[in-house]
Amino acid sequence: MADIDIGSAAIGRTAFIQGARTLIETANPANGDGEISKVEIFAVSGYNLTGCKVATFINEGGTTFSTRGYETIGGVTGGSKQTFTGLEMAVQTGDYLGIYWSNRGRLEQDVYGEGYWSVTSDKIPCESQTIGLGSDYKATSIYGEGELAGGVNVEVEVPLAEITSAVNAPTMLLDRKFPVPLVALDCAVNAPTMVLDRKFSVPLAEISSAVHAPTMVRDRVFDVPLAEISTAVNAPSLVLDRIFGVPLSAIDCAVFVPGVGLGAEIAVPLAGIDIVAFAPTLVRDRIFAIPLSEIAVAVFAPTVGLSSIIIVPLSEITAQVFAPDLSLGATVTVPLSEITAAVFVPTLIRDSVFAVPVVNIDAALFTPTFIRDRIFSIPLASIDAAVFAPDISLGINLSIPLAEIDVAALVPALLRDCIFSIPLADIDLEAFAPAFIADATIIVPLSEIAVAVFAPTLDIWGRRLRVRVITSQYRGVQPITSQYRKVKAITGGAH
Amino acid sequence: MATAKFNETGTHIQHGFLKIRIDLYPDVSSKTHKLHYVDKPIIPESGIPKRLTDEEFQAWLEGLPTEKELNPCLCHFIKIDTTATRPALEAEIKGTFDKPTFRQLDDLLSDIDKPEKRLRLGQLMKPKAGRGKVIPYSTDAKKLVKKVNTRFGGLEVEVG
Repeated sequence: MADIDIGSAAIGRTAFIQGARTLIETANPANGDGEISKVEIFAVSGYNLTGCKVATFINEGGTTFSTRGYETIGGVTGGSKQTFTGLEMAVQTGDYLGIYWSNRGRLEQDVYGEGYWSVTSDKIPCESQTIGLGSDYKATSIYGEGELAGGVNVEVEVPLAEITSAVNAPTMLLDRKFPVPLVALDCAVNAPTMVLDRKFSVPLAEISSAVHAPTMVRDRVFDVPLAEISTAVNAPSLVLDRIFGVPLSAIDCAVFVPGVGLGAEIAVPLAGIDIVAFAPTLVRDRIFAIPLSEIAVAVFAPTVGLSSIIIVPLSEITAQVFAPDLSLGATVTVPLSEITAAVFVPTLIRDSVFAVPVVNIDAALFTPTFIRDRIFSIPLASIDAAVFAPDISLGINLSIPLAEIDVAALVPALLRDCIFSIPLADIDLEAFAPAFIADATIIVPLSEIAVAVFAPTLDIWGRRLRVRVITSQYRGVQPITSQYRKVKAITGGAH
Repeated sequence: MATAKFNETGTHIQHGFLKIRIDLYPDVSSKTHKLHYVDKPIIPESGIPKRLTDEEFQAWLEGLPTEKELNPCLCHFIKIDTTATRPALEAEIKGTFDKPTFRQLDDLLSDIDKPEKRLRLGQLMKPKAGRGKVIPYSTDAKKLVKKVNTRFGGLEVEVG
């Protein structure tokens, strides 16, 4: 038997229900938290259903419902049980299965059973809508099955800063903590949303240590094979510690958001940093001769105008990215590629390609002009590999089309901007520069953290995030409680 | 053997992924064929009468002659890239419903009321969800769906 089932058996019955409507089966609410991946429907022969959608419904009391997950399935042919697979509908214990169809089609129904709620309009998706009781004794032939969520189905409290560390080290977490196949790992790097959609089974303790206590990871000196140095890119402090013996205290945050984590004053909008910081390939691969604003556009739509090489006033970009305290002014012609690469994977690239002394590397980290003033002759492929797929690069194997990587993995700003519908600067503060609010602690389910940071598309397409600010520090792991079943973002500006 | 057909009514975007629906029609030698080869009323060329009550409509429908028609035994959704070509999709469908897979499907779907077979069906199809990439949020969903349906309309692939 499947992990989770929901609804009544999809079988031929003695009667039917006809006409366009949203119908929720009252029988057999879901018996677990996870995902419905298969739905069966039995429509009456000759009365095909059209425009069908199926959904999991949350009963908010009485006849008030919200959809938790839904999927469009299209037409349903009558006369035999129709099985739909490949679905991905979130479900939690107690949810009900529902269906909408848009024509005069008929669903098989019995004059006995538990009943159904129904309304003659499309309520998929919906939020806190009234769907009246249609019958309390009729069973309808819609049934679903799915799989339980994995071990991350817990709620934990973590400082936002630590979440961000986890965000910046997703490959490390996936690689080291989750028993996922290589395919999934690729997905993790290239399309994080796919990974986030997955339910992992992993001991909570390991998650905690990796995700919620990144400092522990950072501060340790790992005896790891080269392949695991991939973590270096996303958790550069680890590599710095291992290879260079540099004190970590000031470096950790500097790599991803130079200047912020150091506690130093910066005189630049974070958006300016983020644009380049999270879409380095685009910038790196091109030499621009366009205003920064247009670069931002290019970053968010990286497929546009990528073929040409143009000249850009470097100052506009450099000043914000590397040396925010510098004034914009001089125009310099320089391939941005090397600069960007150096910023994001300075240790890796410098060490393996440029052989710069450690002392200079340190200087480079905190003296961007050191990097900016140099034009490195390095094959672009090497840089790409180092930046985006360091483990592969180190193994001298790179087979990932960069375009795919760029869009999926390194344009979060685009997704970020879309989901929250708030000014980018505000998002930056919360999602990518937690140092600004490092004194706050939030409560958020791990999966929802992922949604917030990596997979805003999930939010875009119907999920919601709850983030609650608290004053206490880490309080350990607690099971999800019903109060968090319906999650809503309540942080500033987020909907 | 079976025929896999692209069903444009199922094309949609979910969680940022483009998903399409493939309907699997078993051939006569398949175990599932008899389950889905069903009687259906023959709708006259004049179409369905308008302004009938439900009861009148039912009476009209029940008075029609019937014929046998084959329903799909499985409707499976896969994620595809927006740039996927017709040959690429054909190849993916053939890979998804290769011979061993279809044999298992036919066996499982022919006796799907058994709990162990239901479970195995889920396990069999869960990994075959396609490998389409996340699409940009700025994508016009309606245009994309229309474009995909035009590109793949009428696609049929012999599988299994």
